[in-house]
Amino acid sequence: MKLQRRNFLKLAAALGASTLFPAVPSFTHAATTTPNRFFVMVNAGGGWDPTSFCDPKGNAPRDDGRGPVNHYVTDNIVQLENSPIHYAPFPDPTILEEVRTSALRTDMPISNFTGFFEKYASKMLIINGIDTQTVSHSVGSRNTWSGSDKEGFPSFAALFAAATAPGNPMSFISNGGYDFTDGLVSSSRVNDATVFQQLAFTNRLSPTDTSRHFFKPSILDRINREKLIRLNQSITSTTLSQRRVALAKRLNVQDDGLAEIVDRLEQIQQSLPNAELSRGLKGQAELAAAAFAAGISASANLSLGGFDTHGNHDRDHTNSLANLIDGVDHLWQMLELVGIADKTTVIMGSDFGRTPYYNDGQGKDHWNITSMIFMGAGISGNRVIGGTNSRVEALKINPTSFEIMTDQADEAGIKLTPAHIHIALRKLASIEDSVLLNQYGISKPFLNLL
Amino acid sequence: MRLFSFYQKLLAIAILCFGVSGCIINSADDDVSSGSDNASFLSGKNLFKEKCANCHGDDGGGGSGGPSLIACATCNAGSETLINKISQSMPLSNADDCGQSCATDIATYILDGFNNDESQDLTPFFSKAVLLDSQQTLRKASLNLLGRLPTKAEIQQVEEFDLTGLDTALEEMMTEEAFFTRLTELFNDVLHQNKYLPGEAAINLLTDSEYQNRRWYRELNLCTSNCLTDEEKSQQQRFSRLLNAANDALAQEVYHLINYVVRNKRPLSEILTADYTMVNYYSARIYGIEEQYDFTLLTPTDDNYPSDTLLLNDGLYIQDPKDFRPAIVKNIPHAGILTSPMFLNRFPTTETNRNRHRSRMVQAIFLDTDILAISGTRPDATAAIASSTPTLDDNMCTGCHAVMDPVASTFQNWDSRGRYRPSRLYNNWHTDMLPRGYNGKIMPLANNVDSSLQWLAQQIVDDPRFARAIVKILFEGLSGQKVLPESDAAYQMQRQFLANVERLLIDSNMKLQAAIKALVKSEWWRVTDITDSEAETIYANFGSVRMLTPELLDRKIFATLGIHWLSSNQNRLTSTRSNSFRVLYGGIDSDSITKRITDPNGLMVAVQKRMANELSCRAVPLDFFREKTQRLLFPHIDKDQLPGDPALEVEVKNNIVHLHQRLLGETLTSDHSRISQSYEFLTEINFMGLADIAEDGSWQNRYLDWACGVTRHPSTGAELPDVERVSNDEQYIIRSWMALVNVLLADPKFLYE
Repeated sequence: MKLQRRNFLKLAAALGASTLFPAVPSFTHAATTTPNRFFVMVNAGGGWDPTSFCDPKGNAPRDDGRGPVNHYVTDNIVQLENSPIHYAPFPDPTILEEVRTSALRTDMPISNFTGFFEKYASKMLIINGIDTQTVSHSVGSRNTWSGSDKEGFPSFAALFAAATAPGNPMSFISNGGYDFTDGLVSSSRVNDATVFQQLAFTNRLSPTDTSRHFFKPSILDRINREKLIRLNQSITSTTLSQRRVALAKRLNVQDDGLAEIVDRLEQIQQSLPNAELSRGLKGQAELAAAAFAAGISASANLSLGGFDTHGNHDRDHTNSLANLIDGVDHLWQMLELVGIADKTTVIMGSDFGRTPYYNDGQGKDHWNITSMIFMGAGISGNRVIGGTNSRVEALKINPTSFEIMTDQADEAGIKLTPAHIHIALRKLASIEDSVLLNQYGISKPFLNLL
Repeated sequence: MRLFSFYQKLLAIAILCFGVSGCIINSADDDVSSGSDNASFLSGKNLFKEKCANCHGDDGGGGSGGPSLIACATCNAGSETLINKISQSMPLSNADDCGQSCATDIATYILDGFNNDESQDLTPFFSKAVLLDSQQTLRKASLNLLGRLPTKAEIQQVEEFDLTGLDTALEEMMTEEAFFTRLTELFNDVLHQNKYLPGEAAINLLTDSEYQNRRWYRELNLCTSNCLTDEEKSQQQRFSRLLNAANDALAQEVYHLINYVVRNKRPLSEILTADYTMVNYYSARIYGIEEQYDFTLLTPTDDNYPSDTLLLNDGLYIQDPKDFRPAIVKNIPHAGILTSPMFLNRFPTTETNRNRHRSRMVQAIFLDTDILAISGTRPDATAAIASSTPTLDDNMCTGCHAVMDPVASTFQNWDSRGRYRPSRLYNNWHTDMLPRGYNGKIMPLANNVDSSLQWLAQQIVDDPRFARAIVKILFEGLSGQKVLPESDAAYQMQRQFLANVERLLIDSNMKLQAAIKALVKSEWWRVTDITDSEAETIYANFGSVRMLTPELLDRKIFATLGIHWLSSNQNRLTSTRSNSFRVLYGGIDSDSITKRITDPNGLMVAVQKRMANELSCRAVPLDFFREKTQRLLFPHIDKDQLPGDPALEVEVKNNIVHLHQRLLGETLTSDHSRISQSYEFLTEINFMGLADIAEDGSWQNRYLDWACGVTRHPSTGAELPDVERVSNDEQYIIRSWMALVNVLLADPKFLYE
């Protein structure tokens, strides 16, 4: 049967308007928010060595005969002018030529620690002497990024995204590291930014062709409304198992804003040499900046491996650190470019530290004492809290002044752990009162560290 | 204890636990009066807390450092076995620490405290749950295991014999090739060997010093780059064919071993104890042993039979790459997976790591034991400095290293590159390491000194934890869910369930099929709905509903629509190209990304939208092109029959019933509200489309976009005459059905299974 226009009207009349256009309940998607605050976790995967970076010791002999902690000369440790910040010499003329030449990278804007610390000291807080209480990668990583060594604790980045932007399409971006969410949000990962074009414009037959669509807008609206109705029928069912309902709810997340990220990536791309998006840590930084600026993400894990240097520590670790600071520098440039640097806090950390001595293979094994670096929004810069002794053992600090205790036997002093850090971090992020935290409590006193 | 009252109690405690933090089901203290020797019980309780709880949990429910002692295999083997096990090998870090008396008391506590239930029948616990019926279970299993819908014969079998028929159908399904593809996927999720599939990645792991012919295909002098002439291009294709056949076989040799063992219904323990590896003709040439076997040749009916006559003239190209044989590589004391160079490289070691990583991973994968959780914390930074050999003599270290290092030492005949280098001959092992051993037992050197991984393999498969580890791999892979943590109120119930499956596996002489059948048919697996809303918290983590992985979704798309989701001839969901959706949609690359995402995010929702748009655009017109009897989607309706025509309501609704069944697995009658909902949506879209065409009669509006329409023959590519084309849509009929299929493809019942 072929239906002509006039027949259509007749048929419509016969069936009645209510059959043709039934009333559709007005369900809505999970609410999205436009995040105004962002957190980036930069994970030095494998356990970094703060003594090769922001808690330098040098080659002075240790009192127990082991060591030295580092091969570089103690006198070459650098202190920034008018700042408590110290850092390891890099490049250091006194270390082995092979190490120096392999680690030096001429293709990086910042190829030494001085350039990095001078540029960012004003927005940087270094916390040294954090006792992760473990030498296990999985436990250490969990402790550093969640504040607890217990299984089941979500990473801070996931917690923040869940508390502030749970309905956003990519509320938490993960590029690895500790990204456990405990089901609060789903982590997103993207290995090729070109996919956004296809996902931002799902109704275009070809993502770059604006003239051809699967459906016209009015039909598409009706299709999308029908999908939403059916989804909500699943969500509001009283006879579906909770697991099925929970999974249906997860489908109710928005994918709006993906067009905006396409524009932001385009903006970033045009600012780069050769107008190509980067790979590796820099590429992760570009995507995070674009997603934040597009309003679709609130937090991101960036991750770089190469720090688990059980052999040839000096050469390999310094190389990894150079890549790390280069990536963080790039991240700040991208955040500036898209205009959200003042709303972003960047945290650098790792599973744990490395032994204050070398093994037979000139490597360093696992050590429980580590450091973290906080930069950007909400952070009062040019500060160092905590410290370690010549054996890289954590020193107690005064819980009020945060000065290192003169008398380390004094029981009033506190040894910093990731738990202390995360209590302060939750406060900094203004999520300390979120109901989500009820099941992830940390039993340590609040120290206003940040 | 009476079974019924036990489950009543368990149910009550489970409900209470949601309001009581730290509540433990089946508290051991409740069972003190169960007739056991009270003094022994109390002594055992104290000893357990002192020596065992750190790894096995206070409630015996297990921890990441040690298995559950509830319904464990040893626990069910009788008290004598358990006492012997404890006295001879526990605790792992110091097997001499608990003698006969100590072991007897602890065994009493374990048996009376944690295992005082006569039966493991879990049925009463599911009284408030709605379970999938046998037909629904069949569909779910068929899609999960094979990526296809059940056949008519299978449906009939289940109709006739219910769960027994399902049993038979499952048994048959697990002989199909698709099942072995799925099995490879399940094990790749933990072994990650597919990392070595690209290019020569696997072959590169071997060395010329061991295998002089490892790159034998290069010696044929075929053109490999800048190939311009037809002959050169042909050579390049031949080169790729040989390289891929060789590298893929090598990269996946451990999966071919697993498949061989399962296919032939051999005990699964053989995946570790096999004194052989698996090769096809092409990988046999890598190892230099191709002359030993008479490999099968391809026949013209085989899919990959060469079409190029040049290839046919050379026997090299008609060797069947799927013909795998057990083979012994020269001088290698094989120990199944453990001695595969690819396995040893995927879990590498260094001079200073001393095989500890390998030890940790072997125990995690094959024993479900996380060494790092045993003694993962150091109370003070000064630990371990006092001794120069702390892993041998510092208590802060030995708790973990006593478990890890003996196993690490058993790898000493294999170097960091995965080469066989017997330490006795190469003098390349450390003197400050614990000797080769397992679970407190030192390896006898006689007959084992150069083949210690064979000894280790036997120890592992003799350990009840091996069955637990295998069931865990299967459960997590098939259900997409992690085994519940101890903190979950349903943990002990799930442990009971998994222990039942472990027992069935062991009782079947370790036939993998037995475990899969037990999982698929279980109440736990089949929970789908609840009978009253009060029960919802109890069953919060029950049931096997999961978001489909990219691989499962791809197969479901093909099974239901008859096409794959392609872009430029690349599979959108499974291609390894960086711009595919494989990783973004939660998949793994087996290299840097080895954990699947199991909850959808906004990007994945956008993928689902594009999938529904692209697939409905392609599948609907294509199906209308087919003969009506051959159609997958529209067997009751034609492309010129108006959905809103009242005279056609029966046919239209019948077709909607068919679509709901095919795409969503729903068996509904035509008067069901969901069918009415779809019918009304379909007709509304049709009228909206007609109204639009009435206003805008341009050809773009009257015809399907060329990307959706069928203007060329799908098989031959030949241009079709107008009358055969599916492109004219002046009545907006095809696009209306596209809209309905689009909606169904986005339904949770399609995206989840």
